[in-house]
Amino acid sequence: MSYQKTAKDLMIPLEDYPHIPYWFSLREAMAIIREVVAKFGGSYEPRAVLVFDEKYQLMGILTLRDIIIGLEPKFLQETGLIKMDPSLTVLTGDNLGPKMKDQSQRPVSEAMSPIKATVDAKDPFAKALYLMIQENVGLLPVMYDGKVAGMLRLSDLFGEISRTVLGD
Amino acid sequence: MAEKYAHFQRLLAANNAVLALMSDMEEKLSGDFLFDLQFIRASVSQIVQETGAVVAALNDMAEGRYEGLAHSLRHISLELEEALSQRREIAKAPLTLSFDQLNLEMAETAGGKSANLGEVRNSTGLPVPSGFAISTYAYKVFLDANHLTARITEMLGRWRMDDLDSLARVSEELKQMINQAQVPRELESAINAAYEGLCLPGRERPLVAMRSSAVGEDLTLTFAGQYATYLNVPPGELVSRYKDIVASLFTPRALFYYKNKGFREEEMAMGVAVLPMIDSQASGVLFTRQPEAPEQDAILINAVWGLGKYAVGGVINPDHYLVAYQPPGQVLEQRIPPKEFMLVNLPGGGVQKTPVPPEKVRAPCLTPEHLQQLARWAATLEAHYQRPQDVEWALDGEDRLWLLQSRPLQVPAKRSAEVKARTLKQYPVLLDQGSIACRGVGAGPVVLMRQDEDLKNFPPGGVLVARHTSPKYVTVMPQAAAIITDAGSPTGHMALLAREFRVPTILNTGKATQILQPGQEVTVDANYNNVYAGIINELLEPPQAKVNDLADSPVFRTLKTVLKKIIPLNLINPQGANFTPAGCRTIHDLVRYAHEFSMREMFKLTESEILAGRGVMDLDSGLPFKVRILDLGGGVKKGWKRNVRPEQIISIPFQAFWQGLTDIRWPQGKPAGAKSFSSVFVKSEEEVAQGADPYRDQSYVVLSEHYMNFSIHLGYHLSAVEAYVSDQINDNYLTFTFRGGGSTPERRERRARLIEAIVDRMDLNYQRQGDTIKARLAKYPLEQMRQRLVWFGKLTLYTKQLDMALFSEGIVDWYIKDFIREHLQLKV
Repeated sequence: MSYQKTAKDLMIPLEDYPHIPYWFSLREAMAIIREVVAKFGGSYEPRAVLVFDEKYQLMGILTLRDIIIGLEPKFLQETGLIKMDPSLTVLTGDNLGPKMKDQSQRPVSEAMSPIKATVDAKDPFAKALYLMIQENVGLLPVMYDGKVAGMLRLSDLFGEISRTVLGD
Repeated sequence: MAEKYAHFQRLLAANNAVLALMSDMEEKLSGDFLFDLQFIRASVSQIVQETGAVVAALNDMAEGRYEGLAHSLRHISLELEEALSQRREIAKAPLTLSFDQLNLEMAETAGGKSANLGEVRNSTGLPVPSGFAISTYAYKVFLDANHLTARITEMLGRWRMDDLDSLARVSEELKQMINQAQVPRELESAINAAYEGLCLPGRERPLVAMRSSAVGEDLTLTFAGQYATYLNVPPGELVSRYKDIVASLFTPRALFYYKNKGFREEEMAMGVAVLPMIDSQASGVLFTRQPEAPEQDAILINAVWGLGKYAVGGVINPDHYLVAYQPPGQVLEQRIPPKEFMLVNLPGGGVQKTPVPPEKVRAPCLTPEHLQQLARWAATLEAHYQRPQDVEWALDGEDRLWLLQSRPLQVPAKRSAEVKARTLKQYPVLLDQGSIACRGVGAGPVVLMRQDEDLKNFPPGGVLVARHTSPKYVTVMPQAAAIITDAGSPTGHMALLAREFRVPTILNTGKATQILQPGQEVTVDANYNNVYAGIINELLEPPQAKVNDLADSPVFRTLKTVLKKIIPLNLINPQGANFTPAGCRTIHDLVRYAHEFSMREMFKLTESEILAGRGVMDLDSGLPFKVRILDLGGGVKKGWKRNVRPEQIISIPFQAFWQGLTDIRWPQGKPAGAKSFSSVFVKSEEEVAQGADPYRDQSYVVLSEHYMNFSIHLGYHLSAVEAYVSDQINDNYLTFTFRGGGSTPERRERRARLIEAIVDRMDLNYQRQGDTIKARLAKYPLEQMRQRLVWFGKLTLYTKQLDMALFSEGIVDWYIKDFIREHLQLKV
């Protein structure tokens, strides 16, 4: 039965997920995601890059959402004084492109999401599912002997659930 | 350490001196320069000395591990000495020789003029008066009897070609010496006996013409008019005239000519041609071709009344005939000016200028029959000698024509430098800059040299285009139409070889490999530094066979012999089995070997050596980069302390490299408080310990003003950049090695592929094995070396842990393009 499976059974080995050092730019992260999508298409889920430090320790995850927020021009960012309204985007005009290009030079460390939770390789996949919903993440590091060995994806867990629910 | 580097610098300086001397000597082979034996001697001794310095410096660098090289040098220098000190003895021979005994091969014994007369008389049957030669051995006997040989050698050594003032003095002393000398009795008797042989019973005892017949005279070199000639000499004056002719060997004019053509003293031997005086009613000169139009089959004849001296001396205006070979003697052109005077024999000896009888002043000297006969002679002589001849003839009182002299006619060679326009505007110019290493014009399809393998398929007539010069290209030089490179210097190894093979070569064009497309047909004008698109026949006009009138002179033979021990390169491939000290057979081999191994020795600097060195500093850059510095001298501003800032470092290569290094974002701004998770890629303490590399995060740089050897430990990879950058193109080089990485083997190899592609775009030669890259570049000008170092600085940081990001081959391609476009600012 699939719910007997552990995190280790469903994880994607670490080397199969794209990585990036934290001081690299958002621009590079975008190039990596574009290339990976070209290679794997729809099976590349969630569209994210793992961020490592120089000692190859996992620091965070950079998702499409993180990148887009990271590229957001300063004049669109909310401050304590100004509440952003989507309608205000009409004001951006031709500035959006160039401004986003400038912003793409920011290091990924400024835009990434920190790791909120991990599971152990031996943990049942149901625990992983629970953590993902709780933390609202699509990707979860799997620890093996105290080191990150792979990633669990919401889409893979969903696949397992589907098989159980649909009965095939 | 600092000492080792000082030796290295010494080696580079001496190496350059050797290469410069080599190209200087080789240039002399073109025949466009004046030089003498002294020049060769001086050059050879300098070359041996500088090569000795190269070898000594290498041994000092390596604690005497290259003693074998010193041995090879001794061997080569002995061979050189031998080639230089060969003295040719004047061979023993009869004191006099009848013309009947002579031919061209006896030129050493009889002198050029007599040998030629003997040759014509005995091999063509043309009428040459029966005369005799006083041999060069007689000259030796004459000098020896008076103990003059050593004194002459000593006096000739006293002046050099660039010192014309002392020339007249030396000449005067030498002539006096000869005049005061006694002709030994045996020689006097021999001359008189030979003269008696000319006298026919029952005929008048003839007066004679005595003409110089020096060694080398009238052979390839003419010595025209250098030496004395006496006409209508009575028998009693034979011996004193003989001395006068010998003395003419030492007129300032003749001495200069001798020195200019590089004869040795012992080769300056004077023979004399003695022939019965023809009582000529007319005489003159015949050229079997016109010097200014040698391609036309026409014979040029000048004629005057009386003796021939006036035909060449410019005293009177001679008859001028241009006649055809076919039909023989047909007049193509004829001018008969009035000839008011003539030179005639006096009955008791000597000659005299007398008025021409009025009825003959405006009359032609020669009849159509004479012209026809002379035309046939011309045909006979050209057929025999296979080259144009300059002939003296005389017409005697019985209407018989005599041949008095035949010697090679100098047809001036077109100088290759007189190529038409500088740049032909009507053709597309692809390249118009560079350094010419070997002049000439060549055309053919472009063949790009990327790897050594490309040499194997080099097509005959191809134009070799490469980034660097490489002596390995010698293997295709015989079939290459031309050579063009991006970098390199005309005094480098390959340039010397290109000249040896006479391949038109342009170096240091900067961009040939980018502009020229493989297979594209181009015309390389290495006279004016232009490369045109297409084949331009106008430039390729068959060059006049280059007649080098010096080519057979003794100084040339010596230069050629000597250069054979200097120029050829046998050690072509450093991986070759003969790349050993014992394999060095020429000076070129020696310096190439020493240069190669000096770089290896320099690069062998180990960390222990560095740590042992004094003058160690740490770099204070504010960056997360631990760098320990060793200054060999001149690399860091004076007054440094334990910590130096980058701007205090004045080393040229370091400054450039650092500029690049700081142009790329460093790992900084690590978010505080974010939790990091160790990953399976992190090396355990044990792994690090097994690597036995306690200085993992420590980088080292050894510096001087022009040198940098930077061992960089950044993250998990090791790279090393070594460079020498100066104004001396020949010394400049850069090596780059890169290996290792913390990521998966796949990703590390992807990074290596990326570096490979970028290094290729930076015009370096490289080798890759797995994740290890070695790249090298040499002989680029200073600015371009600096540029490469800036690029390497960028690349070094750009690739720091880049392997991590190299998820797929596609992303590798993206990164390659990104770096080339954003950081090299070149087209992708």
